[in-house]
Amino acid sequence: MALFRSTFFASLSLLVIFIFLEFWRPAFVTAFFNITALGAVVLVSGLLWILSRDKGRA
Amino acid sequence: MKRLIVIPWMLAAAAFVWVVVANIAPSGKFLVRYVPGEESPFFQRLGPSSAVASGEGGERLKDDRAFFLFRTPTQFDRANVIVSFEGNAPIVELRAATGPLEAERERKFLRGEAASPAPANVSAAGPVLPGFRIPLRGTHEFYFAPIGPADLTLTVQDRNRNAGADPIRARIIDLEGTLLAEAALPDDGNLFGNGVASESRALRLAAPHSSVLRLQFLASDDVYLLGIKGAMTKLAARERLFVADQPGEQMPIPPIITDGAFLTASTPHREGFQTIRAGKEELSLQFTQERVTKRLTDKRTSIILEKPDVRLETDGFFAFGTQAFFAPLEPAPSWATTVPVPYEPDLMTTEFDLNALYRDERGRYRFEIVAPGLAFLGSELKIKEIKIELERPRWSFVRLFSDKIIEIK
Repeated sequence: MALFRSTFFASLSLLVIFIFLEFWRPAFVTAFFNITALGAVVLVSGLLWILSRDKGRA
Repeated sequence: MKRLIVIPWMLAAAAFVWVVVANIAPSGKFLVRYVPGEESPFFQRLGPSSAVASGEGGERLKDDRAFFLFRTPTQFDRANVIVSFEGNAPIVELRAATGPLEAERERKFLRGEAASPAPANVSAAGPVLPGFRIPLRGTHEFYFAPIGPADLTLTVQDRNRNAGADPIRARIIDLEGTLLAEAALPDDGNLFGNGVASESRALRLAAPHSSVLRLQFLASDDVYLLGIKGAMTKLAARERLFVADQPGEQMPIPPIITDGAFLTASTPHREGFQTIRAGKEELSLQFTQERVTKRLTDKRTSIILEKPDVRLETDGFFAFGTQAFFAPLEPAPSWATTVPVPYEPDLMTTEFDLNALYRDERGRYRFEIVAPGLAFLGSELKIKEIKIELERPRWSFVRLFSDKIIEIK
């Protein structure tokens, strides 16, 4: 659970920074890094985190 | 387990560092590849859509010019643009915008109808030319300044060098592109490639007076344009001049004047082997169909042919003699055109100084691929790949704090 949570927050932070960089200068990030894949990591890790938390409660 | 939570944060930090370092490009070199039709963060697809045919087999250029927008991840000084293409075009050239797009308007009319101010450097006055009588081969586009209403007689002959029909079309268009007159001749009836020349035939075209008119002559290279008759003060051929071989008595060829920035010459026959003098340059034709290119530095260059049977190409105008010469279209000042180096027939490489080029408000450079005559010939050019090698000095701490790595345009 802790792993999912830290993955979620780490990738979310990175995504926010990258989106900011991309607005600041187009192609700064997208040229080298797949932002869509990063977004998927955020979603999946967030989902796993929530699911594992619910399981813990049950 | 507790320690595991550090891993995602380390990975995130590594990804961030990786992106920053990749942008700094410590070696100072950066390579970008683009296959037209695919997505790329650096390129905006080829346009305008009217000039580009896409679909199976990639994107193809079907008009004389198409552009693409390109942005660099950070500031670079030089760009070596390598375009690989497939297809038949008399000339392929690459140019880049040096001014804002509003000022671009393709090429500006120096002379035009009453609505536009009279240009200073083209004078309609001048000796009256009777036309010319130097045989030319195939498709040509002329610009001329008629005296009174235009009344042209074109003398043509089909020499049937290659098999197939050779219909002939000619039309007069004004600078705005309005069709004023059109004439056509069917094939002479000889469909063989037996080299039997037809009788010479005439095409007559008449159009109302205008300061500058365009004459398009559309035919295969089997068709010889033996001469144009008509009262005019100026007559210049745009971008292509194919001085035909003259069996029998040779007509002296007057010096050919051009305002182009380069000259490409080739000959289809051994009889055309010669050394062409173009200003200070010499172009030596030693092989058939070999295209020899030289850069021309003068504003006007006089080209001396030893003999006919030569195909000349440039990015400006050709005329027989200084009196006939004029450049009715000003080469747009907002474009940097450099001479492409065709080191392979389907590959050209062109170097640009990025600091001299214009970047729009979104930091994009604008490049144009120009293939004069492509639309006219009804041919297509497939753009296979565009590769751009970017260069700047190697990365150093001094530069990081001194100039433009972090510069935002």
